[in-house]
Amino acid sequence: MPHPPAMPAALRLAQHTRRVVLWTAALALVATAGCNGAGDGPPMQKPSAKGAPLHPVTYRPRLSGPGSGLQTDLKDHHGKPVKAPCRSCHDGKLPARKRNTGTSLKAFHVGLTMQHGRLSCLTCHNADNYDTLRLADSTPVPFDDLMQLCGQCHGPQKRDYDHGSHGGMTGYWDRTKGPRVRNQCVHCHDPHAPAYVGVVPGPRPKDRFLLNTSGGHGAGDHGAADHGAADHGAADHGAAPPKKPATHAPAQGGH
Amino acid sequence: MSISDDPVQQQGGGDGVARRTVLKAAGATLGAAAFAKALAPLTTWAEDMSADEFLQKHYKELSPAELKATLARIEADTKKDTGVDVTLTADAPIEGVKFGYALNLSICIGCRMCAEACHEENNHDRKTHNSYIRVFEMDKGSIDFAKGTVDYVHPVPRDDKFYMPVQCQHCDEPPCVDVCPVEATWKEKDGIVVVDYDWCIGCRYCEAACPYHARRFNWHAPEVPAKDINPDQGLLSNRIRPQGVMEKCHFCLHRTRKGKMPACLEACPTGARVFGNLLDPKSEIRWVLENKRVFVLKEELGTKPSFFYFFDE
Repeated sequence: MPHPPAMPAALRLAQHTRRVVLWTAALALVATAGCNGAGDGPPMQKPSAKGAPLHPVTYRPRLSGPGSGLQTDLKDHHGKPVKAPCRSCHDGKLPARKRNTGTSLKAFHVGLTMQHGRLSCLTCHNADNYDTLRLADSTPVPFDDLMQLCGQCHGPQKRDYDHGSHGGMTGYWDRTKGPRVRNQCVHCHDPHAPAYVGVVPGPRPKDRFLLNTSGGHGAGDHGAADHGAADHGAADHGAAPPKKPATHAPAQGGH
Repeated sequence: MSISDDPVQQQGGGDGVARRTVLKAAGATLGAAAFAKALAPLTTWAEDMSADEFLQKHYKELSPAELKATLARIEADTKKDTGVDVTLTADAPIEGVKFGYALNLSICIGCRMCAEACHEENNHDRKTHNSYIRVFEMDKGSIDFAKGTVDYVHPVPRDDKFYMPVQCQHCDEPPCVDVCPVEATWKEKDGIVVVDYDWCIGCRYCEAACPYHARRFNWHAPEVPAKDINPDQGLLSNRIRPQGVMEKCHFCLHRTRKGKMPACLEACPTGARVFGNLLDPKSEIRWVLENKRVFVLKEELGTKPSFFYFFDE
């Protein structure tokens, strides 16, 4: 189709227009055909075979590490923190059956405040073997299996935990496809003072709906939440006091 | 009124034809100019859009081969744009699975870790700190979103407040799907309401229709530093969205259709979130629905959410 060479821009536009119109028409045809035919979308995945073996549920390691013992500031040659076994001290001592706080102690467990009802140390700790815990019926249980210990009193929480509606977890909802790792009670609740103390929340949204709001609580808060958020572990340290919102302090020592 | 009664026609005589011709010509010129002007932006489409992208079919109409080609094309485009090697998948719904989500208001502490996990998992725009989840802090006693705040920064939880994360409720009667003029959003067989980012025209009707404010609009393409891009991406979920399209929570379908938990659940430190298959009577979500005090948000609207809220005792 011959065209006068004097109008290249108009020609290009006309060609584009023609192309677009054709494509639009073609798309419309395709879309119509598609709607009539394959309206159901791609085929569904096959479900996992019934009765397929379930992957295990494991506990997330406690923050103080597996097993019993008191955290020390020493490290072994692998760089792992060294724990002092409970028996290394307690084997030679008579159990203090009435003690329910560490505040009066001079060495070890110093400053351990107990805010957990009227429990004493030996309600949960096993005087016959301090490297284990024990249930109310004096059955010893290992430190790594303390769910049933807490569940003796906190029945509803234990029930909810067992049904997956209390306590954080990671992994697979479909355990035929993969395992699951669950928090233990002590990841959020310090057993010696179990009331949840709180955390600094993650960063706040900053979208157009919030442009005119104060962004929380006025002066001085800018960026506070954004810093706090970096601390994913805050929630892990159930026993740690709530972190104060970080402030933008000007760099020191510049002068 | 007959033609002969028209004084203009009667007195026009020979001028009538010329006048009509002029008007026609003027109209045609204006029409052509308007048409050209309207199409003018298309003359530059080739710069940022390949022909394949322009001709991209609706997701539901893709044959397996076309789907594979589409995934490869988007992977290559992402590599070109961001320099990051991503793995793009398009998992189909699992037969016999309908997803449900429940959230325990009694133990949610408002830490916003879910919103943050969503932000990171779904390659959200870093500047606006977008997330599909908003956590409302409200006074105990009633659910009053108007008095709630979402940008609190003080340590949580406060004794006089409760916290309510809100995200897409994946309704069984989704108003957002009803209003979409181009069927770019629909409900999949496992209950997930999805958006075809290549089909969406960005009219934002769905955003207006959603009573939960669950949909977000990409005023600009999300800006994510290359090192922070989550390379595990889904075609209908967390791939980096183009400018001008709607997006929303998709229950992390690139994870959940592989059997994994959604990112927001894994981030929740308290276990306030319960996710699972509503069709499996032994699932945790079913236990919650059968044993807890459960409600859905704005039940009176008849949207039939797949997202539930519940209380302990």
